[in-house]
Amino acid sequence: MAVFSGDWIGLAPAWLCWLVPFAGALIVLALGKISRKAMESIGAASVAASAALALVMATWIPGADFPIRLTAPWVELAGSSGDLPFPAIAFGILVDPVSIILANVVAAVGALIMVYSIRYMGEEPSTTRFWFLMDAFVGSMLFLVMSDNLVQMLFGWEGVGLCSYALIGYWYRDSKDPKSWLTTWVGEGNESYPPSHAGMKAFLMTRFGDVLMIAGVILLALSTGSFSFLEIAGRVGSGGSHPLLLPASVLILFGAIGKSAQLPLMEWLPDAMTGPAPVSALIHAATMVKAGVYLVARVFPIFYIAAAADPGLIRFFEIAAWVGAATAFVSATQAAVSTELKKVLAYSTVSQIGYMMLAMGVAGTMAEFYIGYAGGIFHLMSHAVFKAALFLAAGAVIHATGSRFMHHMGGLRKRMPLTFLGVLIPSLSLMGVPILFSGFWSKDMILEAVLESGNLPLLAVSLATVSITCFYTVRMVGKVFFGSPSAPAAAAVNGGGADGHHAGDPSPLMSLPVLALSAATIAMGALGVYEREWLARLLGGYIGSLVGVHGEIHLGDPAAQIMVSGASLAFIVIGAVPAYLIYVRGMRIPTWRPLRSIGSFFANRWYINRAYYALFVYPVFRLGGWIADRVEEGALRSAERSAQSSLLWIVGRLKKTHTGGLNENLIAALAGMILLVAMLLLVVVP
Amino acid sequence: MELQSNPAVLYLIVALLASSPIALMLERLGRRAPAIFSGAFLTVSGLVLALSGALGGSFFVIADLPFLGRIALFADGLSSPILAALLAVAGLVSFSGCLGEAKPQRGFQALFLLYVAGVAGLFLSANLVLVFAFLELTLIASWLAIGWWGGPGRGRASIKYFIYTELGALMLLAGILMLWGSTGTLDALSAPSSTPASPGAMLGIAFIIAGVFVKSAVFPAHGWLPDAYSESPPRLAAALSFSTIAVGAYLLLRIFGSFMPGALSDPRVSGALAAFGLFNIIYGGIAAIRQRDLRRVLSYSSISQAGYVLIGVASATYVGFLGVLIWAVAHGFGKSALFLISGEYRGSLGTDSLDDLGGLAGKMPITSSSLLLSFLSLAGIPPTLGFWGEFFILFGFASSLLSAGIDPFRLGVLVLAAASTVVSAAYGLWTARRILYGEETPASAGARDRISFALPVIAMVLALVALGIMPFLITGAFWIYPG
Repeated sequence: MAVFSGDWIGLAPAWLCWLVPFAGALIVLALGKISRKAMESIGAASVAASAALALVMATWIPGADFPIRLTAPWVELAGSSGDLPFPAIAFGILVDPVSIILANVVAAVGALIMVYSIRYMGEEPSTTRFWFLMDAFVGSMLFLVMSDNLVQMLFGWEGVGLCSYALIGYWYRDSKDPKSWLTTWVGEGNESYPPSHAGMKAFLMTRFGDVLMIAGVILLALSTGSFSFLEIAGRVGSGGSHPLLLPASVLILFGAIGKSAQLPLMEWLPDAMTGPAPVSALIHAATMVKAGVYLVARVFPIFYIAAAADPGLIRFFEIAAWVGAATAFVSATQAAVSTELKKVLAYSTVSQIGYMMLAMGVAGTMAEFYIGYAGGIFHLMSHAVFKAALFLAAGAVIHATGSRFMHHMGGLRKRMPLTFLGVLIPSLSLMGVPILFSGFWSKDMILEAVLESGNLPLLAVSLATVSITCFYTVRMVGKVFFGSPSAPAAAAVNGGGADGHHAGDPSPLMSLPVLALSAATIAMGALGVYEREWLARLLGGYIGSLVGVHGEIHLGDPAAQIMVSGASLAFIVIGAVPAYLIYVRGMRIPTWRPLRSIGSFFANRWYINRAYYALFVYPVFRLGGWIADRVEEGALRSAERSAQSSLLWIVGRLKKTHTGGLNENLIAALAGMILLVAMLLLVVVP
Repeated sequence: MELQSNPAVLYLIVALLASSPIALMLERLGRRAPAIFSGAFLTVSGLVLALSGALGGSFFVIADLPFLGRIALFADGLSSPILAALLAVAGLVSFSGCLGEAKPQRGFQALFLLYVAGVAGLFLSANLVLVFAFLELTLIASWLAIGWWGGPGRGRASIKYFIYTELGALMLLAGILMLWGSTGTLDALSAPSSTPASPGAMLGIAFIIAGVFVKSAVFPAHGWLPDAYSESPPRLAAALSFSTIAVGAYLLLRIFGSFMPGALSDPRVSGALAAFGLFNIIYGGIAAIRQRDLRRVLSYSSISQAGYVLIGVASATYVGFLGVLIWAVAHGFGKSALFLISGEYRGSLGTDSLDDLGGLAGKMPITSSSLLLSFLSLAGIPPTLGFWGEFFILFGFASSLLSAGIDPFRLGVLVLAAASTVVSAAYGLWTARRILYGEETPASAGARDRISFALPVIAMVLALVALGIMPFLITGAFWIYPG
């Protein structure tokens, strides 16, 4: 067996693209104390280099015969017993259209965000940690994307989780002084969290999903004897269905649910907004949170094939679809009442990922899977671009006003015209305004897939969510950029306009990435009609070849398309107009009591977050205290003490026999001898 | 697989035993000389062992005694990796001693080496009586070291430690003798490959398990551990924490791998092990969350970690056993690093109380990163070695579950054990948050990284990451005689 199989040299970009950022991270670490400029350049350049490498991979798409695997030996078992459950785990790189598309999204968006970060983090005292973690994040994310098996993917999976943990808690001092509270904390009242708490929360919550995913991976490997995506897909079809596949699939879905912040594990992402804006843009909007969708896209062929043999497996896709739809709706309602700018965007991210999950789910339930599958990937791409732009622009706004609360903003469109443009264009894309914006095409493709699948409740939920999306987006733009300027919070804190130098648009190094991403949004929108066709043909053909469906790719009938576009336009208007009247034109909000109690229910995050603290966090703390105080220091200590005192008591009694009197001693010796003789007799005689 | 006759195993033990008086003699040269000597000696022999693999599959017969049977030393694919890990950890721990110790501790290094030699001998003994003898050597050496150089409460802690672990050792001896009575041999090399599990043998197994429970501080026999760990001198605590889990894991793997392979097919044995394992994982983990100083967090973490060992052993599969070995090695590196860090906190900041420390991340970036990575390894998170331990243990248990037909009890154990790894991450991150993050406290005002202290710790953490990325270094070497 060749040690390295596959064209490792010719396809070097496939492994260099994640190796380069890792190397960059190490160089950053070494340069940290030497030269800040050099460190920042290396930090950004290494991601730019992997963007270039990803672009090279993109040129392979038209010609190559996918999938391409590069493998090398990794985990070998020495056991000689013949019944090893799996012979070995190979190290592998999987090059196919899905991984190439994802790598391009991650690296290209990442490179722009890194450029923005140079200026954004410029005022921080020491940023070695930031650059190290950002580079390590991009490396881990690309490693995750290029992995050809589930175990290796877990390494990237936890790597991005660790970087996310450390970057959410970047301002780990948790300073309570009003100025940092206004910029680095998240939430209000008793749901207000400092950065280090938010980081821990994010890690533990996603870890719960990951652990279930590991259990699912184990079950999948036990039922198919492999960890590799392609090998498993090749084996599930043959030899009927395995009873473990359904539990395995649902457990693996939990990994995706945790990472992509879907219900019921969505509560960590809104609080992850304590991180710096580039972190929110890169990790918590554009890339890491998409890993869950990517995972579902990766295992899609496996369970699609399995569902053909055993219709019970369709339940996996149905669960994914409903999780996605429910999450899209629930978090959109939370975005509609959120008071913090970045938190609106975070809820919106959760909601939009819900759409992607929905797309992957419905795709699995129908023969024309490619509409949903390509729609999900398309929305992933367009969302990565426009949401990154929104987060970067939000970072500039928060920088300028010194507060994360929208009621400290207002009327900013004249003071920050470029930033306004950088928010407006992506916002229109997020709303799905027709023709010119990428979000329109990708979201409509998802809605089309839902319509084609014939699941009307799902369609109703997803259309309703379109309205709410438009409502919260217009509300956000209105509150930040329209209306009368409110006194900046920083001024209120400092007792004067001390932060006057922040008043306008940020420097070009920060504005340009935002505008570039906005331009990309329009470009993707202008070409949308070709893009959706291209994606559907590419992914439909490729996944079709994996699952054994070879047929004409046709993108639904025009009537369905027009119906979907019409309906979504109507729902856009329903959501956008009230928000426009209230937040842009300044109409009074109707003070209608049921409306207010619904609003407060949404603002309390549907009480899900509180319920988790009440059900899991506080009881574990109480139990831990009870064990530490009552059991360990209480019961066990006193048991030890009583063992000690009873021993002393016995010793005390025994001591009394040692009188020293000859008579007593002789009697005792005699009794002992008799006992010994009796024992000997008992043993020997029979 | 075959064993080759090779005197190297004997040389290794003799050299280890001899190094102890040498260290004592070297004290004349300067107070750091013994630590430097033992650090160099242990790391070099650990590296030689790991690199050459010369001991993989070798044995040496010392004597043939009339009634105890053959007294032999041997190394198979279980002894060699765990021994290499022991020597590496102990060597690094010694280095940390020579790099920054405030007051000279005459004789400590000699006793430390004696302790390491005892653990090494235990890993290499083929005869169970010899195993017991080496276990006693470790007990006495560590008891004296705690009693002489421990913290303020050392008197009570060392006596408690001695009584508890001596009781455990005696139960182990009783079990060994009963096993001898039913199988007729004490020698791993001549143990019959398949012995029907007679009632006597099962009773022996029960006693051995009870002895291991004490040695590995499994609830309810864990009473000695929190006190002993918090009163030990830091370097001994580091070595002690390695062997607490490793010796227990080794004994169970040896007994169930080489002596009584069939015993685990009895559902009572594996069921009891799995139940105790699960209980310990949850109990220790939850107790660790609410401890007030780092040492005690680490103590309860050990109790939780021992639970995974039991689950892996209960799986009775090759993959599960492999997971146990990796888990023991990963725990050794991670926990030793953490104990050295707690020693550094106590030494240079005067406390390792979680309430008094805070905001150390900026002051001690290297130490802080090491602390975080070690905790992550304990929680089984990639890219650290702990991941493979946890993964293989869960994999082994799941595969045993499936091959035996799904029974709800085992399924429940599997699900809860997997879910409980979140608790491991929780106490680790919660501890890290209290020490590393937040505002600086008065106690942490003067903190700074001392590179001389940090080097051994960095080496341990790097070993965890390197082995996590290259697990084949262990997985490719693991097999249990007679294979």
